[in-house]
Amino acid sequence: MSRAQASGQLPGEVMMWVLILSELAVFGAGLVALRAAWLTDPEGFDAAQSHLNAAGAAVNTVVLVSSGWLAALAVEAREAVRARWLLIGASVLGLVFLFIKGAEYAAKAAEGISFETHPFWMFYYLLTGFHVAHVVAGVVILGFVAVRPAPATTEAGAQFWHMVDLVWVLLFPVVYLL
Amino acid sequence: MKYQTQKIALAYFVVAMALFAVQVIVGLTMGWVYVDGNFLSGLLPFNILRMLHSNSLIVWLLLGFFGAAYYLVPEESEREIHSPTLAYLQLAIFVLGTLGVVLTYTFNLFEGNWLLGKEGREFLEQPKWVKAGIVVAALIFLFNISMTVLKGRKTAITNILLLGLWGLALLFLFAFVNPANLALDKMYWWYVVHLWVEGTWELVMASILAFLMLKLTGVDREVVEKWLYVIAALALFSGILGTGHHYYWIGTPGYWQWIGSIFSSLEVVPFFAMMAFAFVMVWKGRRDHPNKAALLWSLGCATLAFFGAGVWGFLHTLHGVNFYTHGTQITAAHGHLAFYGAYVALNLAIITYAMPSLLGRDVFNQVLNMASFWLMSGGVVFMTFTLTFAGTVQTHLQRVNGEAYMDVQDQLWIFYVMRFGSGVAVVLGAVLFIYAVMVPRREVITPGHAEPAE
Amino acid sequence: MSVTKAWLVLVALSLASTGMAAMGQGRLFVVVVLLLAWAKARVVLDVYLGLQHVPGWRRGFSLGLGAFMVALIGLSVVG
Ligand code: HEM
Ligand code: HEM
Ligand SMILES: [Fe+2]
Repeated sequence: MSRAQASGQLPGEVMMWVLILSELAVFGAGLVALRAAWLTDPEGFDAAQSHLNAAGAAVNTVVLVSSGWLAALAVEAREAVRARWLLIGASVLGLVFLFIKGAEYAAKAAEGISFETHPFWMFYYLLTGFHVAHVVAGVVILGFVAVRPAPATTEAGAQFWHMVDLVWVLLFPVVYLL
Repeated sequence: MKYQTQKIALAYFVVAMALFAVQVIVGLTMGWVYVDGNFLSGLLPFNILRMLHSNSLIVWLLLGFFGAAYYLVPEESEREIHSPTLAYLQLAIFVLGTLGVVLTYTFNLFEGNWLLGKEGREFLEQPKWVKAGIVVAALIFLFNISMTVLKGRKTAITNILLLGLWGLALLFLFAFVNPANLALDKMYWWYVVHLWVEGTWELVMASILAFLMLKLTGVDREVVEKWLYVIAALALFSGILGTGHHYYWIGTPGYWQWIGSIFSSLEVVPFFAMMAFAFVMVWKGRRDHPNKAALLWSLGCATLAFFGAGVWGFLHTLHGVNFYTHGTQITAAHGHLAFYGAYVALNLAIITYAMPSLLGRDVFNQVLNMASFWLMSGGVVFMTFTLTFAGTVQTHLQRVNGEAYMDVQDQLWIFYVMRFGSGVAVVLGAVLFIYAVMVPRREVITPGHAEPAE
Repeated sequence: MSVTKAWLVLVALSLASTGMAAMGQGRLFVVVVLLLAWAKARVVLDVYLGLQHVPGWRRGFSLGLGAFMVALIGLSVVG
């Protein structure tokens, strides 16, 4: 970090930042599109959204930011063993997120809600589905990094994970609360 | 030329340029059919001409890529091509296949035959036996190039080039998937067509451009490589799901409208990055390379690709817009400028760069070559404008007002006349280009005399 | 800010927005929830992703995020 501080360069690999920016652009555009589509049929969107369980998603927010905290600590860790346990902790919390999310999807499926039910649900499945795919990828990446944690790989893995975190804190209120 | 086997590129470039001439001449013929609807209709109907135009385009661009690979891989890997014999065999298979396609289609041989007959799928019309031949030739090529790269020095340029070429060949396998359901047929068809020009070919383009910039501007390899990796990542990130912009109205699920709109809008970014890359390299570069024409083509390529693919692509890529413009002359305008800027100009750039050393000459006829750049590019740009206007009028009359297709076409006649005029310029430019790189052994015009005062 | 402090702030902000949701809807609610999300995003960017150490880039990201949040707030309030 001191290196970055001195040079004014982004921390870590440039390629990670290219990825982060691209992902933010995609999710950002998707969220803006959702709000824009909302204006075309406010009652329909509101009615569809009322079927969501915001409480589960709120718990998931805390799960994910806590997982991000562990990943950030892993980057700062001086010994590999400590970094490994922190990374494992982060990916276990990732699994918790996936579990809660799975329950949510199962409930929607039981209600017979699919992509086609209403445009709201199309956006819902697209946005949360893309995000969940990234959580799965992140859990796998953190798991791999934890096998033999080196500063560079730990930092890259954690950056990916923070990106997933960042997307969620923006997605959560827009899809579940408003 | 440092390596003997770079000479293989010469044969590829010559065949490519011959097909290029055929392609634009057939294009011009079609341009006249649009002006006089009955022209040649009994002898060579429009659909056959169109097939010849688009397929010869694809084949010569591919041959150009192969030639470029045979030229630049030895220099990058610092060793000779694994097997020159295989390289010439590969070319022979391609030439045979091309002849087979042309004869089969022109004379409508083997109608309905599974193996020998035509398939009637734009860009992928080849009879099955030709498709198989293409696969064999591609495998030979990949084996040959990969062996060379594996045994030699590995650079970012060869890495990305190989990634692009392998992807290109593997995606072609989807050309064999031809379900009876028309919606599914189209879905797989785009796996080839879109994922080529907005995925794997883009990688090829970025790596050839990087090679040219490295040679022409003398910028450090490290800098070039960083750009190259970023461009490749951006191209794949946006291009793969960008396929969705072809899935709006063909019966694929509705969510493609959003996936396609969002990801394909991002496809503009790698094209912008390639343009920025080219100009920044020239600006930073310290080397004053004598091959000014190659530099002109490289910069022209990056710029026109940004406009043709990036700007003209974005123009109709949001599904709300595409709902109206789908399949109009707007599409044709975009198709022409994008293919020309990104891939025609790219091939002509590497040919312009390599030809003097392949023919063992000094860098001659810069002025003629550069004149051909302006003539040809001016023609294509003008053609793009006429087609864009035609497409706008067409969209309004046909899609908004609901007039009948042929009634609208009648009203577009004047645009088609102008398109034909610009097509003449393109054909003349192409002929001039081929003459300038192939024929003269001395400088025909002394530079400085012919150039206008700036 | 240290990462642990950042985590505490994130949890607090999350609880605040859930609390808001319990209090009901309305324009003010929309704006406050989005402002809370904006604050969380900035904490993740600055501390977790380390932009607090690179002021130039931090400014760029803040600008982009700001434009996005303003667009969201605008679209959500007119509805
Ligand atoms: C060098 C790159 C590109 C080439 C060579 C290219 C070429 C083409 C061609 C030939 C077609 C017509 C296909 C057909 O229907 O037969 C087409 C369609 C299309 N292209 Fe591109 N393209 C490129 C990049 C892009 C980019 C970057 C975008 C978006 C930003 C884009 C957006 C579209 C769209 C939306 C269509 C469908 C038009 C319609 O609905 O009729 N293209 N492209
Ligand atoms: C290097 C130059 C050229 C390139 C790269 C090129 C490329 C293409 C492509 C990709 C298509 C298929 C477009 C689509 O599916 O929408 C096409 C069609 C066509 N091109 Fe060209 N072309 C070139 C030169 C010309 C010239 C000089 C003319 C004549 C003036 C011409 C006239 C046509 C016509 C009439 C079509 C058929 C459009 C239709 O089906 O309505 N092209 N060309
Ligand atoms: Fe496409």
